Amino acid sequence: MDTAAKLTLLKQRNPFASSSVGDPRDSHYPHVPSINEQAFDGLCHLMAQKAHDPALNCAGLILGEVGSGKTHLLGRILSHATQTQPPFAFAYIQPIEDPEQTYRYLLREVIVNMCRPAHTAPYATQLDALLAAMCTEVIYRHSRPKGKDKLQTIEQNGLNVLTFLRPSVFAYAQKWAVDLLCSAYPEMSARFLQVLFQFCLPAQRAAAVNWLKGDVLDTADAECLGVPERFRASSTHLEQETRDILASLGLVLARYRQPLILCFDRLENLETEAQLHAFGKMLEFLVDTAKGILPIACVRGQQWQERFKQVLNQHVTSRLETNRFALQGCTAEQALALVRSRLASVLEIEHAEVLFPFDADELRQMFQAGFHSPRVVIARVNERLRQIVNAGLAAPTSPHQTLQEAYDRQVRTILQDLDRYPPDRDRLRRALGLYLSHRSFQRRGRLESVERPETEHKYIDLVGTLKTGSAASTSVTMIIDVELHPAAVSASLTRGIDSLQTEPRGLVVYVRDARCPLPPHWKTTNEKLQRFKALGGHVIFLDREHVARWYALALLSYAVREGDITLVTAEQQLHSVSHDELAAFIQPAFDGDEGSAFGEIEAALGNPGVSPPA
Amino acid sequence: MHMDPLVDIEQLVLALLQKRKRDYLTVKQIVAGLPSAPRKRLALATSQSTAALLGKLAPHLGQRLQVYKGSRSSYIGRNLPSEELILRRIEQQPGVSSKQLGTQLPMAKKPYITALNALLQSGAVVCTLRENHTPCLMLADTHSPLSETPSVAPGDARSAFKDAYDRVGQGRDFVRIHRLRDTLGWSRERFNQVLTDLMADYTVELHGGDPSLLTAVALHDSYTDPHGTLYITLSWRGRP
Repeated sequence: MDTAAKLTLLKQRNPFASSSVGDPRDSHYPHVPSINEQAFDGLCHLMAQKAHDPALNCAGLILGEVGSGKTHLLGRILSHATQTQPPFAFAYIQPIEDPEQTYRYLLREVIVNMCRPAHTAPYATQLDALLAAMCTEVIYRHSRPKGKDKLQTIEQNGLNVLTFLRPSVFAYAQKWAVDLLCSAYPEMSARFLQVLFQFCLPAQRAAAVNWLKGDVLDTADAECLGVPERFRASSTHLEQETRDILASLGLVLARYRQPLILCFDRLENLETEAQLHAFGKMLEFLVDTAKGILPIACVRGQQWQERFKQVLNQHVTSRLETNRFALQGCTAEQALALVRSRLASVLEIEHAEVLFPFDADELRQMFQAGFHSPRVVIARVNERLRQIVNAGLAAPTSPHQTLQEAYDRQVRTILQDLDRYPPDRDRLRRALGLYLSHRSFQRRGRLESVERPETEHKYIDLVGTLKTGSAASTSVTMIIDVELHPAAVSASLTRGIDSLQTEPRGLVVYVRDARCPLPPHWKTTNEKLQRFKALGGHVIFLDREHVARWYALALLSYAVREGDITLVTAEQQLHSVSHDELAAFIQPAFDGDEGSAFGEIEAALGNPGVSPPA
Repeated sequence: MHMDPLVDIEQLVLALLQKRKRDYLTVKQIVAGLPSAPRKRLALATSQSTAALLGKLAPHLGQRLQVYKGSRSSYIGRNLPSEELILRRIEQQPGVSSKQLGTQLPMAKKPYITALNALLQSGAVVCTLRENHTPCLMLADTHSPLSETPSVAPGDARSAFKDAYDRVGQGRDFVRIHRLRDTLGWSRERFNQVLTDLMADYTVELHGGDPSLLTAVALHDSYTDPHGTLYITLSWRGRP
């Protein structure tokens, strides 16, 4: 390849165009071993200790400012985790929204991650691998020598044990496993094990996953799984049950040496003290009670010192600080290694080695004075590359354009793998709250004081006041629902009906993720839905596209708060997009046209108190 | 109370410049930084063209602001002569290269070179060459800040800095730069020079931090490097 061709290639596939990772599972640039080597080695050592002794009470803390490579380091840990013996499973936890549901949130995130495709063959998911290990142990114990030999052969050949088990054998395995584990661990939940085994049965799989996630199942699904209904249980009871499930899960993870890393990232988004305390509770529980799980938290250094340490209990901070790793910027040689690795992702290795098309001394000079964060290195090299390939200085991008691109990217990512984003009321509420707080109000009137109601109104998500011209104000009530039990759905609809009856001119909108349909056999619930509509209530079922757009907006707001959305200004300076700029973006970007992310919400806002046609 | 829209916009833009510690910003940055009420009143949106935005804003800029036409974009900034703009920028970024400075100023190449040459001839600005022959600019009276206080040797400055770091940080790893500046009480130039020296030999590492946690004064007393990157905290990495 001649020089011109190489330059063209670099121009077309500029490896310095992006300096942020977003999600560690999507990291596609190579790792540079020398950068943050100490932190990486320290975390690997921690993982090795945890693998050796799953009951070890420990956690990791990664401290680093914007662009220091926290998320990239998590990506590196993820790669390493699949190569360790035993391999670690990996769960990436987004910030908690509702501190009232701390353990249910934690359990849901853990189970969603454990149902993701596993990195290690032959098992499709981590839960499959766990079940296979349980079955193998108990069947081996109860088998004759011939059966033991066969089991060993299956394992040695790297085959999926579960596919070799006839239903009758599988049923025995379940009974034996429950007996064995419950006698070995008095705190083990037999019900958890019974449901876990039903994960392998296609007819029960979906219900089993929902139960394991802590969802309130409908009567038919609960009967099918043989578990009591959760609908009548109090919030305290549900939280306690969730703790029991997490503790039981930790015990089996530890017993079968399938450790799990739980990464808490984007913690800048914990806005309230209650959310911070919820994070603290999760950490304390994971370290002290849940065996086989290694929590790792990523926090910005200044925030850790000035906010987290002021709010969190010392029990939590001391557990985290025992294994803290402060990320360090690049020296000149590390900066060059970073440049080399990025070039190697596009060019042949010999060209990358000589840093084509850069002058090594010039780069060394550029980064010789002090530490530079990886993001700064990439941004400055990008600027230099653009000069070399005659692309001129990086065109300044507006916050709007940058946010639009990031948002579109996020929507595409979600749509490619919607299972990673299960129905989530908190995330939908955040998206709707952002939209309603910053929407353009030129067409439908001004929506004022959008806020969450008091905690006793647990079925109502947002309330506000709509003002249109000289007309009187209209109260606005938003109800978001992803519940799977008809009584829970009915309860939400009842609140909506009550609101409409109390204030007939008010606007009440019921929003539901369409992945949680209302089956026709829920007669009472469907009748209530019709009554809600008849009274003028608006019903919105979010389809795949809309769900993806709502979730993308919520995740975009996390990324902005984290300082992860950056742009190059007219002065060629790297600038992190601010929350105010996100607010300015929301106005024109979500204009409320039919078919847009919030089009149906806008349509509802345009017709308060008007009954839709039957 | 309804404010005079003329005064309103002028004052809002001046406040924005003050907040961002800048003498000028691009027209779209100005629009994005204005509160929503005046933006709505003038029907301004960053999606509109710069020319359209200027057409709406220009009548409201008053005496203390002016429109600058740069080589790549249009700017709104304080009403200052070209020489003053150059001096203020060099003061913010001592050691900036002449070429880099040109890309940062809201003026075309020719008037920039003319104004810079006038400043060099007058002695207000001095020019030195880096090892790679890059001409670097400094204000004549600040290019050697440590000479202000010749009684303090560089080693003393270093230990004074470390002492302040320990006292302010009280064992923390991320110490706010503005608090160190406040504790040491040095001139701005001297503090920046010592900080730059400590950075250069990898004794300290500077971090971005979270600007939303800081007041305008604290932000001003943090540190902005010659590339315009804002640093809020630092960690001591070198020998104790």
